[in-house]
Amino acid sequence: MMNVAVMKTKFEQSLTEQFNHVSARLPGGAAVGVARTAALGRFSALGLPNRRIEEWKYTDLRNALKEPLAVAVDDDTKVTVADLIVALGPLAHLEGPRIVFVNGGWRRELSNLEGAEGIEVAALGATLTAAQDKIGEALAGTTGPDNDAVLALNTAYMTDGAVVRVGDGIEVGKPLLLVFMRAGSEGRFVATRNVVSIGKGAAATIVEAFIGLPGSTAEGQHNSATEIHVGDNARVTHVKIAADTGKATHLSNWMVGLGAEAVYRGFQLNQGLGLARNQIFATYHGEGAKLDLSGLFLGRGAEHIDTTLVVDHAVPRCESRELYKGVLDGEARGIFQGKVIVRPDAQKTDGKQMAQVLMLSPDAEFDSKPELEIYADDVVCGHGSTAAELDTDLLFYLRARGIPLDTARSMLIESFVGEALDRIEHEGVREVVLDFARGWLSKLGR
Amino acid sequence: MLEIKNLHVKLADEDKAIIKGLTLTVPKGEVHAIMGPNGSGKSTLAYVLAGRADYEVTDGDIIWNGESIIEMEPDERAAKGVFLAFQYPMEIPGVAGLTFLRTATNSVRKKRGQTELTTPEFLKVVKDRASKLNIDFDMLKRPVNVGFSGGEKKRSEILQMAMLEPSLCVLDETDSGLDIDALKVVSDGVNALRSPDRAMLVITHYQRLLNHIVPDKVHVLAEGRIQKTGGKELALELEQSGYAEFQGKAA
Amino acid sequence: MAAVEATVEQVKKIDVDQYKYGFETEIESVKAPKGLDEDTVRYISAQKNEPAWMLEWRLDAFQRWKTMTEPTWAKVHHPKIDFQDQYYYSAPKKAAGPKSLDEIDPVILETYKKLGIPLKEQEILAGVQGSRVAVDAVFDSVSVVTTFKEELKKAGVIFCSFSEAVREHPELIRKYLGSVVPQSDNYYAALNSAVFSDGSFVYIPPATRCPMELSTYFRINEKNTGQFERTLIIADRGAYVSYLEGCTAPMRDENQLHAAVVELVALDEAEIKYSTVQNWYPGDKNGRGGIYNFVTKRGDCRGHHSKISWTQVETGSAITWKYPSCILRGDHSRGEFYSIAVSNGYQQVDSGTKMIHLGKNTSSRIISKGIAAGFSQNTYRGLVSAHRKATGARNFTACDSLLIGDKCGAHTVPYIEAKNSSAHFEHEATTSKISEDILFYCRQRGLSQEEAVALVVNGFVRDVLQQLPMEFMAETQKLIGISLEGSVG
Repeated sequence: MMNVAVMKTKFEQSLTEQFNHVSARLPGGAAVGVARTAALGRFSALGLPNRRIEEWKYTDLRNALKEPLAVAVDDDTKVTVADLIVALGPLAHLEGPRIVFVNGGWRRELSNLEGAEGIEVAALGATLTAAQDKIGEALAGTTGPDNDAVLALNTAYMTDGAVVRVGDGIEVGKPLLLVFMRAGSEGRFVATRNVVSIGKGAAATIVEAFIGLPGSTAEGQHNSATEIHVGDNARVTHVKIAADTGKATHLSNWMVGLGAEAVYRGFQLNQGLGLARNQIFATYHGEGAKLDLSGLFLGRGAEHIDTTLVVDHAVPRCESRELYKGVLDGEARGIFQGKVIVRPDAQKTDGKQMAQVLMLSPDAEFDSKPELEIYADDVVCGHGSTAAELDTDLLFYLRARGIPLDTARSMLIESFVGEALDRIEHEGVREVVLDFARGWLSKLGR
Repeated sequence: MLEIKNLHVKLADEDKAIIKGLTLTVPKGEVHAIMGPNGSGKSTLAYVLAGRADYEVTDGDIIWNGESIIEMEPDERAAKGVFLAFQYPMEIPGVAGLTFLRTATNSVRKKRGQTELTTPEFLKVVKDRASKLNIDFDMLKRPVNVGFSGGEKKRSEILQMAMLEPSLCVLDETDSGLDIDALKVVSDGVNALRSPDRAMLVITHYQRLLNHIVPDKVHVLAEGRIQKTGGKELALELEQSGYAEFQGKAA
Repeated sequence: MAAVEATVEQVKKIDVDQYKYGFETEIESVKAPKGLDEDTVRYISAQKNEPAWMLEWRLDAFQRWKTMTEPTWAKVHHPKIDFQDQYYYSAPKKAAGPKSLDEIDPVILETYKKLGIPLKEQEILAGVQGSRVAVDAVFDSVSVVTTFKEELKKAGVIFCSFSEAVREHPELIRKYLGSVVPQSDNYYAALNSAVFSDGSFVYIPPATRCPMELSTYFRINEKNTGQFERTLIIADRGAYVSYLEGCTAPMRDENQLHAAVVELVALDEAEIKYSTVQNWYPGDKNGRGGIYNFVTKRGDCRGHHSKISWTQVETGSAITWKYPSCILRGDHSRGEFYSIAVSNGYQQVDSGTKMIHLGKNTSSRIISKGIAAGFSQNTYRGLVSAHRKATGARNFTACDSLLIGDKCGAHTVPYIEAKNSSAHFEHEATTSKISEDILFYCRQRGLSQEEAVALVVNGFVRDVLQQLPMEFMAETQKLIGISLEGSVG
């Protein structure tokens, strides 16, 4: 449904106009150009989503994204390997190949693809330029909802990202790290796109990290999208760590397609983000597939973190599990929307969903909309949602045993979030996520 | 009289034959035991007698009192006197035991042309029969079998049997999950129902139940057919020798 | 599995055409001219001899309605309603204010008798042992009789038709009308505010326990006529009342509109229990005809420690759009919503509740049971919200859906908004199909397929059934059975 274009906001106007100035410098051949122009047209017609659009009821981007930033193209902000190590924090210790992007542009000198056996990794910008329209055509017919203005903006402006391919039957042991760094003294609008294809019976772990270089401006808007196709019988762990310094905007779309008997485990950590919207659209293409989505969102100050999932059971005999945990302090606002659709033919669907939030401050807010839309009868589906304070009885019990208040709180919070972290199968990655979360928890106010 | 003639049964959903030419006769007034190894088709036989839709009769017939029952709905069979004591009785959330018992009793009575029991009559009969089975009357106010122990469930099955007054009782692994005391209570309940008008088929893996419910005949079921028939002493032999000699034979 | 197919077959057979209240009563009536404009509003007001302030209130609502648009967010689909192709007022000709039962047209009395609602007090006494229910019977646009008025009066309870209340108790009406559901609350509430015809009014004085169950029975008889009743119930400090609403309509090929508004006000420590057994004509087996039931029901727990409890059994209507809600304004107030929604044939149900926690230490509980069969769509839509200052808010929600057959849909759309940390909200929902194992077990014990389905469904909805007044429980159980198994009824 089109949203009758009222007055364009400053942001909408700017993002529509900037296209004329930068489009010539965006990578890709004619087909990509056509896709970009069409996408910009969609964005221009739709405008930013606002609260009158049901899916965006709790996250009104038109209201929240007032100030437009300059679109990042051919960014040349200087970043050294030493800078990268600092910015990576706990991720610096993660063993495995990495590809690094700064302000939306690939940095060969920061990337290290050694040890990437069995996994083909390339930069999207270079691929689009070299292969011209081959991949462009594929991108033009991208999955995901076509009425999503955020995704349309991504298609219009994407500069780079990772193109990842794992061949049939290949099992990759070490995690592949995709780093998207924000750097420099001026905030930028950055759009990146990853295209991941996991072959039949293959196995891989992919980690996306969205981080800021310390000392840079706190401003920034990152629009990220990842398309991931999981082949029949393949097993994938896909983790996102979005850990910034508190002001940046993070808009993300994951479009997941699952083959028969495939197993996909997705996890997303959100912390230190001024405004975040994480959308995942998962669709089953073959029977017997398993999807496990989990996440942890940590908010403080006036942060606003939204997770919106649409799991589409289009075929029979598939399983979905969702477990999200949130900890909200200050005036932070957490949003969880989880929609599970079971199509008429998707018999024997097994879907379970849970979202739980700990509210640490009286001014925190949690809005939740777990949703079931079921058209098949032989299904077992359920969802739950809870919001509560820390259990004061438990807190008292710990303190009565001599544990200081802060430690007792941390212990309880850590045990609360632990259940979601345990969903990450790769131990090294799980440790990194835990380190990030601990870093956030250690700064909790009274 | 129950006559099973050359019965062939497969799963409704897939082409897997489970019973392959079973023939068996149980006259009224007799108790027959069916013994056999796991996977021999014992429970399938019980379900097929009761008319469960997951199974398909591909050949043969089941005659009860001179009438073929294989095309009948489960409740029609119940009205004709067929009662199956389930190995795993169902839990029915929200439905009180008494409601269930009364609905079932009166449905069956109606179909048999008997008058339905009024509430006071019904309560009187239930109380009487429940106390004989050591069933606390309060337990019947709770939802059917929900939260019951294994023994409680089996006793509740026998109470249902007593209430429905069937003429063919099929007991499927009634001893599973019972300790010796519970086994005694259940067996006494079953023995009390033995009568010249009633045929019983006791399905069990172990011989111990047959010490309490003494059969007139024992049949060995393996590989989907009756392999051997004997008196009650056959059960004791099997306890010694096991089922090995009946397995691995070509069907 | 064959058994599943058998179940589906059985349910398909459900003959919605066997709706047993589908007869029509032939009676002469007075109608407003077709269509809706300011004159219609004036006509209705004049028919009722209303004071000027009432007319102004209606006209104000009408002006607001004209600026509004129909809501589209519910998961229901229907052709656009032509609001000019309706009659907005219809009254039985002789019904101009009967003072006693003897004056009522015997044809109408007969209608209610057929519906199983005896209006003669002695019949009520004779019919239901030990329990008495005072009834307000509304036929199309007017209230035809209210029973047990004298006895209620002794207790200080006012129970009368809304029209009568406007004339006799203007101070109460002016104080409370629209104070819970404002004129412009939503499209259908605004329409109702402009053209509402009749309904019931209840006032329970302080520290009074209403001596009997109160009940209103709504009947749409006239063709092409919308019914727009308005109910207002006020429980003063420490008062208690239990109220039950029932409804039926003849079978017609056209869709008929029913847009009611119910407002409840509970002052300090007062309690209102409002039960509905909604059995409007659901349309025939092809989805033709049936009532469009667009209803706004809201209770305001205005006083501290007040309590409002909604119980609804929804089995009828082609479309149900209804969200009985509680505004938990008073500290320590409590709201409850218990719902059974059964849909079959081509029925569409979009129903649920809103629990708005405003006061401190307020609590709410939502138990919703949806049963979808045939080609129906059954949606639970609910909102639980705790505002910034509503510290100590508690909610527990459980919505369960049961699917019978693979052509229907069951949907759950809850909104949970906790705007302060001390809110403690728990929400759970499940969707499953009716268990074939349990059905087989029941049938082995001699129950027919229909009996088995009814038994399992009644077990599924038991938590909610228990909330209904005793007098209606058995009746309701039967009704659920009938809605699901025309083959039995």
